[in-house]
Amino acid sequence: MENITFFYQYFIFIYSLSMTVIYISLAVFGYINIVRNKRKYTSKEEDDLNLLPEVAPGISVVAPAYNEEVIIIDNVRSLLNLEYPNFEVVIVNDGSKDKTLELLIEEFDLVEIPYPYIQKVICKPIKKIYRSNTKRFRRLTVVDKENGGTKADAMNAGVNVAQYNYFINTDVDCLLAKDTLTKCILPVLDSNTRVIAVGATLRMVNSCEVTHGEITRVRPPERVIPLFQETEYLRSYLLAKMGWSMFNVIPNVSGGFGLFYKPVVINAGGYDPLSHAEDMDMTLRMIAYMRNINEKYKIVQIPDTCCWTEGPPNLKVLRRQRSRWGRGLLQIFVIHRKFLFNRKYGRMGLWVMPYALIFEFLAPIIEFIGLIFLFFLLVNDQVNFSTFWLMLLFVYLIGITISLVAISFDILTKKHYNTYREYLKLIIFSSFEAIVYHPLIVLFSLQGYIQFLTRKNFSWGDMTRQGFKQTETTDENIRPEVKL
Amino acid sequence: MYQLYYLESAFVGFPFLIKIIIILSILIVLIYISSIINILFIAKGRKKIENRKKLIRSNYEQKLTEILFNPKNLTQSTIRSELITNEIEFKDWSKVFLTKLIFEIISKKMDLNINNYKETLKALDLPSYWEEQLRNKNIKDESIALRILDDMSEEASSNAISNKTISQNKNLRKHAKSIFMKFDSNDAFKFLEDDFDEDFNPLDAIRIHDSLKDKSKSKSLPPLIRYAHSAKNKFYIAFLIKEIGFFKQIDSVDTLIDMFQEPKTEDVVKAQIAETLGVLKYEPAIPILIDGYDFGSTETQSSILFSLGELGGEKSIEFLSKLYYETHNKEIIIKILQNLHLIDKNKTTFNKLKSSASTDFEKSIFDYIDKGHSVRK
Repeated sequence: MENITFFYQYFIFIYSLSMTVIYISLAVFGYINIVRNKRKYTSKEEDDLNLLPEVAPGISVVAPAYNEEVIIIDNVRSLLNLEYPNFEVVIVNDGSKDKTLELLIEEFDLVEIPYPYIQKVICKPIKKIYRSNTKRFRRLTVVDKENGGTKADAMNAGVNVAQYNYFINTDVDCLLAKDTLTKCILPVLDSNTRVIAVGATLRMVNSCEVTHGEITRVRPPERVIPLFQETEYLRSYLLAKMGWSMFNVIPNVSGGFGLFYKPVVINAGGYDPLSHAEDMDMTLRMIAYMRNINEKYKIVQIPDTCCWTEGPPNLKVLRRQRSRWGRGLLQIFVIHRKFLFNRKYGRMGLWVMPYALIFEFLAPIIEFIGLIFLFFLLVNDQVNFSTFWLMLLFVYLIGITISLVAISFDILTKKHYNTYREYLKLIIFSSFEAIVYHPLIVLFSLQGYIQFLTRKNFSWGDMTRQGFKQTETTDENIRPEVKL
Repeated sequence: MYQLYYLESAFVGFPFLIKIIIILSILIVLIYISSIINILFIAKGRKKIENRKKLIRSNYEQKLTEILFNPKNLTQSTIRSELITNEIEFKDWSKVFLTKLIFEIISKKMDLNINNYKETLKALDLPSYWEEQLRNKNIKDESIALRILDDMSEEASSNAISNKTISQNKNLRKHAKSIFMKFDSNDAFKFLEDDFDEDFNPLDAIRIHDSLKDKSKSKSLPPLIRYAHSAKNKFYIAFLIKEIGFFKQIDSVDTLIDMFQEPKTEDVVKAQIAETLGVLKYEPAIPILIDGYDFGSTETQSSILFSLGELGGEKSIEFLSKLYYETHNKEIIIKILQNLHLIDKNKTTFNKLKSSASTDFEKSIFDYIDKGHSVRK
């Protein structure tokens, strides 16, 4: 037993030491990347693109909708009001049981069109395709399809109808910043290597003031869970992904928002409706495809907040979200195990996937075992309290420092909140994250692993996309992996 | 130091690993403190900027609006006396905010007095200030200055820009090269030679396009085919050929056709040539495009179809009609019918094909196009 104790303590020491080194390195690279991005792309570049419609590449904005009657009109209007000279909006009504489709038809003067539909990626059958009779809504296409039970299935239908080579994958309950399209397409244009995907920062819309689908005032969430999640997202996007992006090793472009190169998505087989983590699955298959055909590619992360989404308002929704992410992560390592330590997939196979396995997938397991172990040592009076408090303080310090660094990066990128007092709220709450929020995340992730292994609560359709009532709207599909 | 010694003494005799944790903890605390300082520093900096902006706006917005939109041409000295009420020299920061304020004001209204705009810039000594900024050895300052000078257009000296065209920083270098032609009156297009830059990409193409558009307003452009002919980068060649179409340089068609018929020409270039010949409405190209169809890549084939849709004529209709029966690619079939519908004025051939459509998919294409829903890309 003494040997086990000895080994475990050293293992945990090396584990947390490695994690600290990785976090600090990612923060440094993330910072460099943010500064570079801000220097390279300014409002001047965005204005140039907006003033030269003849050279602005077309972008399709694809947003699936399921039972969204409460928000559908305002949010579609918001998408149609994006500032970019050359885009279309494709709304996929995924067999809604409420009045989503009827409202769209009435509000946007839609008529059914005889569309020559080509199924490039598999999805449930399309019923009808609508376009508007009114010129000002000419950018809008509505696809009415049979319910596929997953966002992936609806996205595939959208990809089949999208007419441009680049498309945005988002949700109809997400709100996009007006300059989203220019911000996302600039790194695509500024590259000789094919950019197959672009990710951006997502944050919580909870407590923001929204008028007719447009955010008029950004605030930190008032409720505790979305507030913790706001900081969690900032860490994930501004530190981890911006850091990984320096080395072109982003393993996951979020399901809530991302720009994708359509031909590669189609050649990689489209979104997998059976996946619990369809975003990471899609990203990895795109990478595998590019590697297989031996073509260079880039996946870029931009620091700007382009998408606002509603975070889980209560524990029930948080549990549902995180257990699904847990199932998804485990499923990813089962399906894409070929990536692990595989030289063929370059840095993705040798660095990032092993990192995700050790520091993301295993983290909740190690933490849980650590807790049990601690109780065991306490009961047997084997705890050296002077080093115990030191180690605990060390781990706590890592957590709050990384959160603070992420918040400072957010302020550096753009000051979204009106007052610094609101940022202070974020900082103060992030100090309690390790005690209040993190244990729940560990618990729910473990629950997800168990569900996957025991095949319990395994209905993809029910868990992947719920009916999005305003209050129940969650970002279940949005995984800010790689997490920190 | 006292605290450090105390800390050291408190852990004397502890294992090496614990000492590492102490050092790391101190490092993390330092990062935490520096992040707080960083946030305060950013907040203070932004507050200062806001105050300065407000000050400049309150002092100059109205005066500048009156000058810039005054229908009467004003002299530099008049403008100077209007704007500069005391002899104290403008500080650098005031020039930065004044420049931004001027750009903001002129973007709001249409009836700008160009003479007064130019004289105002000179009166406030703004072009020379930004040229000086461009000579800084700080990439951040240089990038900002280059963008400002780009917006000022011809008011800046090409010498200042020229210095940056040999910068080690590729973003700065390419930006400087792409806007050089806006400022230079002697050899404005020199950077279009030699593939523009070894790192040419689509963003450079947009900047060059903007400069070419700007330059073409004052005088017609030189034949761009000259630069395309000597270039080696296939994407740059394709870009120049696209510009040839945009600026309607019809004299280049013979060379374009030679390039199209040359077997060694890259697919991306061939596709662009096909499209440009259509944009230029060069009807003699029809048989050449038709001959090249079978040997072209999918991209080239799509461009040929687009071009035939632009050029029209009986031969094109006949070819598209024949192609309709031979093609299996559904996307290509849609393109064939879109272009056929465009050039078949009395719709005889289109309706004939429509009546022969057997599958639901084919029928839906005809309805889709006939009812005007199709978008030709």
